[in-house]
Amino acid sequence: MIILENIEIYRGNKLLFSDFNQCFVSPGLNVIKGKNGSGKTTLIKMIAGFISPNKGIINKNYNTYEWLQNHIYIGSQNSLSNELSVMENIKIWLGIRGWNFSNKEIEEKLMKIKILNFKNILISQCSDGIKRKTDLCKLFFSSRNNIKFWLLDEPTNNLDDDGKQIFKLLLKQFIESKGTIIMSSHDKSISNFKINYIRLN
Amino acid sequence: MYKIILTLITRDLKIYSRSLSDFMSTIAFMVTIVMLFPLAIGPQPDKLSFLSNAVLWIALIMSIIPSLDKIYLNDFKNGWLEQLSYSPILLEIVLLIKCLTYWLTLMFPIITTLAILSFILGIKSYLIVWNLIVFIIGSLAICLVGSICSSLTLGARTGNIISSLLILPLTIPVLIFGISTCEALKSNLNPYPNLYLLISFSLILIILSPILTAASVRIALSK
Repeated sequence: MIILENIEIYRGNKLLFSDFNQCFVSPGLNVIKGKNGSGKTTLIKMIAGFISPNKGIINKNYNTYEWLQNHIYIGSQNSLSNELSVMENIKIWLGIRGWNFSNKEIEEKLMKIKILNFKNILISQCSDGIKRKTDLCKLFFSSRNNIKFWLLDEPTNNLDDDGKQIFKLLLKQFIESKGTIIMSSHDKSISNFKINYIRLN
Repeated sequence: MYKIILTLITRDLKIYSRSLSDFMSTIAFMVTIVMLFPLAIGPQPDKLSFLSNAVLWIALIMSIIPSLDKIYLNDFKNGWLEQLSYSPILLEIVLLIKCLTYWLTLMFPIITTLAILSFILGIKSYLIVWNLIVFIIGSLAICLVGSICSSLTLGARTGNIISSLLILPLTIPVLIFGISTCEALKSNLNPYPNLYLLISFSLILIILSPILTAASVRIALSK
């Protein structure tokens, strides 16, 4: 359960929220909606712990170390290196989190998200859609590592219809395994889930 | 833990090995500086051997400084630094490993080039070995200082210019101790006092630099 109490936060000189109270459904799917520049990314970064609010409390029931170890954050930028291939990027990402997966297991997940053909291609030569899929492929590794939260910043950007279907399947599986998702999205295709909407203005 | 550190090192080495042209420009810049000095001074070997240490040190510092923002800037832009903070190892240690990997990668081409350039400048061969050791220690200190300065300016738009200006005063102790060691060797004096000061400066930086770097990276990530 994540509860925000009386949050006040400034970006530069602009006041984004004041007296902002919000409860996130856990387990479940929370979708943050709002116009561009209304603070969706800030809110997600704040929950992830990169930004601390000027005022107010974020209750997470975990200490900082536990919190870092039990969530995956995928920002609006792809955290991929242009000089490495699709496979290497995922392997290294798993490596720095201290997770062990064999090559075969990684290939299996790449096949699920349909980018196995691209596994040896450098990221600098991939299209934006492939980059996004590579980033989302990281979510497949959450089941074995006790991950309870996903923080996703506009995850369906650049995805094709096929990719959106796979992403919806991922969401469904994660919610069924008692996971909590907090994401910002403009996408209407996820509307057949039970969603807790958070509207920013 | 051991495995995570190995992953960090191999990742950076892979990226550096695939963007070798960046390192080659550093080397080309250094060679240019050293080559221009004899032409400007004129054809007098005694003048040149008098200036040789100074020329090499200036070439070393001038060529390393502009390349230092490469340590973190690309990784900051593509969001990798955010993901690094999810590693079970402290961010301080992760960034120290990153900085040391960069230094080691930079050292191989730079030391080879400096050895060749020392021959060209007519430095005696037993002095060259000593000089190279001093260069290695000095460049470690420069890289650690650069790590602080380049991480401080990560969020800024004109980061490159500001970080070069920030690095400059902090490299002056390295330059003074380094060049005094080399000069003492050249005139058969005891080089150890200055060498020890240079080593202690580098060791203090090994402790301070990761703490300051991690603090400024955290600030940059919160923007």
